[in-house]
Amino acid sequence: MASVTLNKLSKSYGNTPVLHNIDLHIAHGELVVLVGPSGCGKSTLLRVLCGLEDISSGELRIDADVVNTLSPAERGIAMVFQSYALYPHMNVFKNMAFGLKIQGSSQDDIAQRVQAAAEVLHIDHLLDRLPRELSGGQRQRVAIGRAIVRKPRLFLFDEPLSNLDASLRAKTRIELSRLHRELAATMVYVTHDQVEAMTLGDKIVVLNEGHLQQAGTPLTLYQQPANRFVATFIGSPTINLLPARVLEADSTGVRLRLADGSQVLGLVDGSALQPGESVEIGLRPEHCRVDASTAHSGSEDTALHAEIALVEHLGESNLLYLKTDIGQELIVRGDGNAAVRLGGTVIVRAAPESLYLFRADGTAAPRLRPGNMRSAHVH
Amino acid sequence: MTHTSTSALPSRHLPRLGLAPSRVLVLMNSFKSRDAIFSDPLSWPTSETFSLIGYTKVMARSDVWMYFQNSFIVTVASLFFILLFGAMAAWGISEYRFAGNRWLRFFFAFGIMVPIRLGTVSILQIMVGLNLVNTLTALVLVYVAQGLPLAIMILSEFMAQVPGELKDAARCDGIDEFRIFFQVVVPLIRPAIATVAVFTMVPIWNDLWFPLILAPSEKTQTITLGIQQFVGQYATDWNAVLASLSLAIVPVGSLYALFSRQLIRGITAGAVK
Repeated sequence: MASVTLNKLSKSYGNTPVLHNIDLHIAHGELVVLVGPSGCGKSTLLRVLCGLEDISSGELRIDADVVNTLSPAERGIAMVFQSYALYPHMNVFKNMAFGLKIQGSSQDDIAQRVQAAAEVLHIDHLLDRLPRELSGGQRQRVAIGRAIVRKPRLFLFDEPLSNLDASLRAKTRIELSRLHRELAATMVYVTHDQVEAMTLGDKIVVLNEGHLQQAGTPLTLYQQPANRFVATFIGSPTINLLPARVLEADSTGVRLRLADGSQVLGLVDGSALQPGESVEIGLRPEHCRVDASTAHSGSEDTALHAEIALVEHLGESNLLYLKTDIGQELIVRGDGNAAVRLGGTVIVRAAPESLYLFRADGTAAPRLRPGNMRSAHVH
Repeated sequence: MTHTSTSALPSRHLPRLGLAPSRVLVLMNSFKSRDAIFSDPLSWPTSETFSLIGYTKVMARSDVWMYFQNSFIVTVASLFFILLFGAMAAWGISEYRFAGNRWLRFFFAFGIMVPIRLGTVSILQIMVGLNLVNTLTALVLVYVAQGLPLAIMILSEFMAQVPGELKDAARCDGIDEFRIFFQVVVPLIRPAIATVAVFTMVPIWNDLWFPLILAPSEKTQTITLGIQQFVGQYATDWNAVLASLSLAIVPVGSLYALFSRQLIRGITAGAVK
């Protein structure tokens, strides 16, 4: 178990920079999830942590040691690959024991450690099998087992669940979570799957184009995103963004005018905003309410007139794809039981505390009451 | 009659042993008496024409065994070095990026296109200079040079197909590059190695050119060269020639069978995943 510190870490291939000055601290026993769109550098960051790629500049520490130039084994790192990367010509036992054998551990020690790891992962009855005789889930376990037996200081997972089918993925996710608690190990986990990130991570690190966007707990990222990118990346369906102009702003709230001329109030810290500034407001689909009566409610809620263009029924809720009067598209999560009529006009309402506000450069104004939100279809 | 007896052969064994029609002729005539060879060369040996005279003649001569031994040493040694160095060079070319990588690849590709026999005079000069004429070493050296380009080209293609994650996993396991090569990569490309072995082995065993030029001495003749002793200017001992040719097929045929089984196993293993 170890802590990991990245200090202004950069990586480039030739003249192409891939990672820019990443600063990050991973505490003892923490499970950190790296997320981001394809090509954001998350896998590269993992390979850099592992020692499979050189570090172009900056410093990587594991505990107090600078490990920039050390090999993966010297760093005490074990990695689980997306394709599992089991040695096809060796049986499960040999796959798990290979690294130990090379290190020169004694036969008894190897047998005992492999057995212990196999029991933790419930693969002790498969030790004689070849990888090609195993199912996807079993291969996955063997790959994890191969990492465990070496008792590494740091575990790295590169999209380990992406080759599994949906139900197995959910199961393995819970299993991994249990494993993390049992081993009390420091883990770094790369995924592009939001659900995995939100459910597994003690901390989520969002990357985009090689820049670290935000690092924080899953809820922080959801409720208080540092910028527009994080807000759009975390949450499904994606947050709705609408252009607006600041009318009045202070540290207790912001009054804005939307493109359709309506005025809305947002409970965000507007002390940095100037009246007249162009901004974007964000409304999460699950924070919006659909009101079939078009009467004016008189509250401070955002109210947008919109037409229902498409409905997706998910059972417990439905997703309404709407088009506002002035042609903006909105997605709203509504009550799954409510009858909706395609082409019907509704009013979409959102409470002031549910508003997100992003400035022109993408940075977010801090929300004043980030928690406390109830999803619309629950009331 | 010839026709019916040929078709009576279990035909599925023919390709496996690599028996072309001419080799069948060699084989069947080697079991016939001299008169029968001349009177009806296309017929199979019958109880009247069957004779082992060719084999007894050949086996009685101790130097034939030495020719076999020479051929065997040269073939196995060349094969060993071609596969070892070929696989290592292929690994280097396919796995590591270094200056001149592409040129090296091109250089070896060029080696496939240009027949090594064009350089026979220079090779002979070199061997004379190195004092290696009439040694098996000279033959092994030439054959290794002859076989390497194709081996490198084929093996580097296969090595490039070994998933990168597998090598990375091995590196994470703390396994050094040599062990990754010998214990992870080589076992995975065994079918390719078998293919290369088959392709390089047969021309080496059958070669007459270089043994004739580089190692024609009594002690270093290979079997293909040795057989020529039975071919005279005025009279040829056909029994002995055919018997020794048949015998010469046996070792290379069995080596081929050995490798091709490996080859077929590799292909089917990949096919059903």
